[in-house]
Amino acid sequence: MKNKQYKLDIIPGIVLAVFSIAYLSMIPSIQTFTGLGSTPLTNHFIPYLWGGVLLFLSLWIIVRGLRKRKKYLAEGGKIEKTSLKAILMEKREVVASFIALGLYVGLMGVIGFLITTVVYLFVQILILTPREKWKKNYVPAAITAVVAGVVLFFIFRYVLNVLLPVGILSVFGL
Amino acid sequence: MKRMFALLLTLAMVLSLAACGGSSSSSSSSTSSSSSSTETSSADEGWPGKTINVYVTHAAGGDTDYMARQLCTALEGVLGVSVVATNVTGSNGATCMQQYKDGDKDGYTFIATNTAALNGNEATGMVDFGYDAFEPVAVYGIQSGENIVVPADAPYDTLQELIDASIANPGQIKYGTSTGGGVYIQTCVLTNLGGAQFNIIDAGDGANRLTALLGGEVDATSLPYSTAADYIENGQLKSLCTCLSKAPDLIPNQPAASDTVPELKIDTEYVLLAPKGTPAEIVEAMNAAVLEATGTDDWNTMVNDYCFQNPFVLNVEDTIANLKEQRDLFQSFVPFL
Amino acid sequence: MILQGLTEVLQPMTIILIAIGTVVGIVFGSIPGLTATMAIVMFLPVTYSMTASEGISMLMALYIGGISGGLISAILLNIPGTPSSVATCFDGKPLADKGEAGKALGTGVVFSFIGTIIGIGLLMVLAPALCDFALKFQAYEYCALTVFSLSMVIALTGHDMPKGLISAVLGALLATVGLAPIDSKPRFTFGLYQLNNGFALVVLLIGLFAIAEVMSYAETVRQNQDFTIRSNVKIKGVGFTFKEFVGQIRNAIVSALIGVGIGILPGIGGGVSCMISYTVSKNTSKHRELYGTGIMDGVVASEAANNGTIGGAMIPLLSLGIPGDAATAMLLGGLQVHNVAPGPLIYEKSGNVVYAIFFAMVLSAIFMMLFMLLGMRFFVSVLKVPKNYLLPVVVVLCAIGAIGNANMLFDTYCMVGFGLMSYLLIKSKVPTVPMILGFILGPTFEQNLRRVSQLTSSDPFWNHPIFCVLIIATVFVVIFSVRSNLKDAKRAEQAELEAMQKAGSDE
Repeated sequence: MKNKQYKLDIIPGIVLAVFSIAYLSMIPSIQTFTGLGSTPLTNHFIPYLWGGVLLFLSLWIIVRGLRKRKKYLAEGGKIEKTSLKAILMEKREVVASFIALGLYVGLMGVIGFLITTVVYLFVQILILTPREKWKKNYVPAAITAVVAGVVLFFIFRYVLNVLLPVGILSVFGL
Repeated sequence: MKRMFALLLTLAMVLSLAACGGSSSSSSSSTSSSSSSTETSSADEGWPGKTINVYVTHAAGGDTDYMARQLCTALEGVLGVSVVATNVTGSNGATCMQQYKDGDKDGYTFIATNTAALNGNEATGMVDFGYDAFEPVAVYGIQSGENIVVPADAPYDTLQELIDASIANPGQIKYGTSTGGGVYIQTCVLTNLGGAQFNIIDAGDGANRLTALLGGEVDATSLPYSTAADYIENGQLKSLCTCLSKAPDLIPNQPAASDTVPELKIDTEYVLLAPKGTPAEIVEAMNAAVLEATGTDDWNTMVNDYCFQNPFVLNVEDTIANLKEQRDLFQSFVPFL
Repeated sequence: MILQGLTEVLQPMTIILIAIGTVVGIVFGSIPGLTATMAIVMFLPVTYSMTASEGISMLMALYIGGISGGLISAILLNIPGTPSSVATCFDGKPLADKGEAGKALGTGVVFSFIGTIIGIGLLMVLAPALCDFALKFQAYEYCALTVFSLSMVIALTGHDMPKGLISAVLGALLATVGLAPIDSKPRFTFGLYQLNNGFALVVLLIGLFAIAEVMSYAETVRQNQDFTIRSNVKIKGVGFTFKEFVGQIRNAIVSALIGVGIGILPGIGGGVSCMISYTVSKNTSKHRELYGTGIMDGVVASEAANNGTIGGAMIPLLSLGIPGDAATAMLLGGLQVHNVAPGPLIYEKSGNVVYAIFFAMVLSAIFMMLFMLLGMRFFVSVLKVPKNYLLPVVVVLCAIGAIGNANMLFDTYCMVGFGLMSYLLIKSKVPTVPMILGFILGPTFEQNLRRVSQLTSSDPFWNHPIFCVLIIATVFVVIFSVRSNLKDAKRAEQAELEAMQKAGSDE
């Protein structure tokens, strides 16, 4: 139990530290403004402030995590290795949901809102349904996907004028 | 059974939304009165045959949006098809212009913006394209403009006196600007060509500049006439001049800033653009439709009430000339922007 | 004039429009991804063709309905429907989990109403005096106010302070993307013009809460849970007793006043007011340890405050012509279109419209309470919809909201990105709520800090008493919060230790 505790400090700490260093390193290339009404504190100041604070905080939790690790080892704890593959398998519904979501928004512009939404809804409903219940859910999921997709598309696109992409359906003059 | 019930519930939720949306937006449909659509659209075979989309570069609630939507409604009456306005906003209109300058060239995509944003964004370097990245269709109105205002008890009554006061006490008069936009251009002209020696303070958009002026954080600033009007009337503020090249038609007795600083002419005109490459016949036909749509008494009254101006609509040739003139003026400011 | 305003609102057409506006507002508010602001944006053009009183009445109804509707999804789905209802989740969701969704909803609705009415009351009576107060807030004061509000983050972080701060700083850091305040130079945009506007609050909100909620459900798919957990939800009356109501009056008034106060100050808004009043309520309560476990107090604090902000935001809008947030900026446009110019002369020039606005607000508040109380049974039945069906539809609505925000497809990519970020942060035990506060306040802080840097030479800080008071208050808040956080952390550690020992002895 305590094993994971230190990992939850060290790993995010390292990721955030790398992120803040990358962020800080981009600041010098931001164009500053020297015209009329320019401020003594330039547009670099606040990014340096936030970036610096983030770096400090991430180092703080790294150090804290290392201490926890030391304490854990001193108490005779063993370091368990968990492979990335095992984690991804354990969270396969989450991974699948993110992939589905990514494909959904990624393809929406090309294929169009209506088709991608119907497909996405169907797939996402099944992802969130236990495997053994899939069979019973095919039909209701398909109906929900089609009805919700069509209704939402027409309301928002034609009643509320949201620019939902029409995509390949534009051949029908939608 | 349970699942079907659930499904119905979801459906009911979605449908109730549809009902709400549908019932309240039906009033926006046009009340077409004229049947002259055939005459204007003869320029290009079959145009317009479907809904026309007009992308508005500024948010709903602002003057650019209001004028664009009024134009759309009027155009529906002339063209006989739906003309739908949609806001794509951000970065003083640059987001929308960037997105649609190479949009569909079939004559069903237009962009409604204002000239100060179009030429100003190019001059300040926000974008790297100007009006010639579009097919200009028509200038269709002019704003009531910005006025240079000071508190009513300030010791100066004209722009010249304000500039002189700033020269007498360099850096003591705090002038509120908004970096990057038309107000910034105006401040730069005032300083570099008018010789004013202000302490220039960034004070944000119109509403923020008003707060700063009323709260005493700045001593002078420029405000849209519509924002300042009430305060001028009740004696809290006074206007030194308008930054338009000439005072609005309905509020004529105002000095223009260009009387003091000749280059200080910031005319914000409403303009309709088409993506580059839209056929010239369609541009001409659309221009004709705009001219017809704005030729009514209703339009006249609306413009009088909202802009304090008389209708100001140009044909394609004059529109381009007009844009070029302002662009050349703004480009001449570039060295000190 | 007052009578004229009243008769204008009591026209059948106006009443119908207010009713429609309230319902649409509630729907927009309750759907994650669609906000009160978006409802106003979409319906503003429709009001162009109405009379001034009709148009503005409908917009007010949308505003009030929209801000209030956010509590529904906050309580039932743990996804705030609007930025203003973020703090409603803290106690609303735990209450619902206890099977008391009816109580949570009823509390939220009734105290939203009370918050709105207190806000309207102050707007009607004290508007001119409060305006002078608003004008005192310039760069210095805003700077101190944002620092003060940011210090509240520490109180919101829970017992793991560094991680809470990381979240807030990450929010502030995300807000630096886009054109910089003041000089409009692009920062961290990687040449993408879509990023010039920066990230939208609503897109961040969707990613942090809605997508994260879907993913946390996805984790439980194989645990074979019952789809209809809370079918035993019963609602009696408004869901709570008269005694409970009386016990909340003080809390409600204080929270509503905080909401009004924040509303008056342009540029802060409901998203901050609910969190600040929640924190204040928690830290001044006798049972602060119960906050977050599902008690009425938390819901009351959040909902009374965010609705109080409505009345507050209308004060500078009407009396000065200065909009406080995106929603009131739209309302300003809606008024100007009808040749009603908000400003010092609005009472003289368009008094009837002003009174029409007041009455429309009161009527909208009444309708809001009525519709939401009547609808409570229907809302609760959302819990009966299997989540594996409901959540995907919510995601699609979020995507629509993200696209509709600026009519850009790009925002949906941001939504997915934020969702992923949020999931990883939650897995790392980093709280996501402080991020919202950092995201909202970061840019305000930067803008005003840089303005202050322009002013310091000619106008030193000791000329600004409000600034000094706020800075001193900040120091106190920080000391107090750090101390109570340490206490909480110790308590949590002890509890964990005891639990472990217990578990050990059980084996």
